[in-house]
Amino acid sequence: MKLSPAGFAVTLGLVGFCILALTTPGFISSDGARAILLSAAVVGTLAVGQAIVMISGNLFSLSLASSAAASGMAFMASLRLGIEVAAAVAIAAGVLLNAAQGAAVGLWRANPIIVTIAAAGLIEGAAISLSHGKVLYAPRAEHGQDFLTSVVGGIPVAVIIFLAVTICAQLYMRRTRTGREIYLLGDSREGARAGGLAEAALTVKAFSVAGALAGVAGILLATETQSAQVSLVGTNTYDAIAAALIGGNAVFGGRGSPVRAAIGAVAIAAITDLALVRGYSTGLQIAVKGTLVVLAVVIVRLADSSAKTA
Amino acid sequence: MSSFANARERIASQGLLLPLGAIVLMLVAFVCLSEITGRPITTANGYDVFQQVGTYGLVALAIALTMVAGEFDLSVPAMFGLGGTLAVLTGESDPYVGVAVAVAAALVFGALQGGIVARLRISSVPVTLGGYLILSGLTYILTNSKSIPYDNFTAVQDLDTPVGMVLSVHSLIVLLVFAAIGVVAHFTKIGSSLRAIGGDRRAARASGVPVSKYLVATLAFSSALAALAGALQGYALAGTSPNFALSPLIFAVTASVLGGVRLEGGRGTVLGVAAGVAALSILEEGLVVLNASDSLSQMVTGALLVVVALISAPGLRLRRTARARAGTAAAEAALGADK
Repeated sequence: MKLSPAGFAVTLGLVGFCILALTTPGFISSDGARAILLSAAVVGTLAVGQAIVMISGNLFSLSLASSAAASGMAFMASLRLGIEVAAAVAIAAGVLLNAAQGAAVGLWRANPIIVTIAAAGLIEGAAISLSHGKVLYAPRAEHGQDFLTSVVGGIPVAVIIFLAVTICAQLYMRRTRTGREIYLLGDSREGARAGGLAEAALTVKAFSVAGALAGVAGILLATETQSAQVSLVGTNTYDAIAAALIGGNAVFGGRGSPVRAAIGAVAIAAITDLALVRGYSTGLQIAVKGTLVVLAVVIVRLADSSAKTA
Repeated sequence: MSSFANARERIASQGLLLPLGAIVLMLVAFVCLSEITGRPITTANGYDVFQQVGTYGLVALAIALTMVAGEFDLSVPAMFGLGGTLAVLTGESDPYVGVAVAVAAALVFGALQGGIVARLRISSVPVTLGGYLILSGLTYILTNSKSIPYDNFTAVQDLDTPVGMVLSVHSLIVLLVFAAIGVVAHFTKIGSSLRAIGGDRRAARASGVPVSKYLVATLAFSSALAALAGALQGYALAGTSPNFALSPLIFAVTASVLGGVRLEGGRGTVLGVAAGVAALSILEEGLVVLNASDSLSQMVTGALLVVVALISAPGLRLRRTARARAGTAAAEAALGADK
């Protein structure tokens, strides 16, 4: 079998990671694997959302993590009404916030980067105003939220949720008509238009699904820290996009998949974990992440052009 | 045709309608505000506006340049931070050395990004997102995740020295950089070549514009401008800390779009960007006068960006005139085919 340069680079990276992992005592264990998956849950769920926006041909959203933080705050604020209501409120918040952005992008053909940067500013500003800059804590009484931080059959519930939404998103994109139409739209706008697809509606749907995933991520984020505030946005914005790209999704749409984004998030979590065990600084971890993003983008591009010339 | 109509035609053809309109609107709003609050407008307000121009003006110009060429340099906010860090760390005895180190490092990094974008013909968006992460990582490493003071107080004071009524050395430097770049872009073919690359890359290539060289130079230059802005800011604040807030990016993009630059590329002038920066700085000064909270200011700027994004969106333009429809569709088709 002849290995393409892209395949060679990926293999080299994997081998390098394995050598580092094997020579780091205490890194490979079932506890370690569980910790990695748990730390990938929030960013992974967001990355799956980013993948859907990317596949639809709208680059990525710079406000998805802001939506997640806002959804987490809505979750905490309504938890007294029971976990079902709170979860519904959080997911609805995520869907509404992102459907509006999808409408601006799909109906008005506004630029997705500009719209989502603006939305991030608006969402974070509004969330700070509404909460008066305070941290929202989980109510003392149990309203079902303890379940979200529990462990079922040796697997943390947050990890189960992350894996479940990844599979659902994958099935939605690959097996439903809407999902396949989103692929077509991202692949070629002209083609989609010629084929009579409802461009604007599909864009709104793609953003809405991403928003629902942001809602889920917000719930996971809030239950993990037992509190919610705007600063939860943290580095999630860029981490989620990085995960989707490192997983091998093409930023210009039509290709890639939610599962790839989830794999990218797990890979980032594994590298971060390895760096932590080895005692590398935060700065180095971030710089490595950035380098991986550039490499992934270049590799995807090279693989794409070699596939076209072949 | 009257001279007034003539002037109007010229302003419209250069895409200065939106930025000039925005400045007038902001000034009127500011005057109304002073009437309502009963506080007279002073030169201190003017000074503050120009200080704001001094802080973020070059960041906006950096992003705007890449937008005109049909690219988008997301690493600019991180280079702003790293530029400040490098200047503060290396410019203790001689501030010029700090600026030189920051700008030189930025030129190298930006040229690398530009090289990848030009050679592989990929969008700058994902590449510079990786660049953003690399640069913020480097900043954390260099600062050890702590704030670093800049103890050269003479340099800090020199930069803050008032010039005339409303300027400081800081804002004067930024205005001079704007003027220099504006003159170069207007009187050489660089400006029109950049617009050609952003508007229709294939046609630009076909008509002999060295597209790859321009892309490398543009991304190197945007990094350098961001680093220069960061270095000046590091000196002005007498220190730097690894902080990557959204605000510089929001300011830069809003000012650029307000200044008549379009993210699809091919449109925009240095004068327009300067006007956009000025309009946004007046708005922010108005919010300061109103004693608005940070979150409120952020919402107002965000809302303004949504409005200008919608105004300049192709969807609205398509509906507006049939002629625009034909033009944009052709440009989009060409752009889509190239990417």
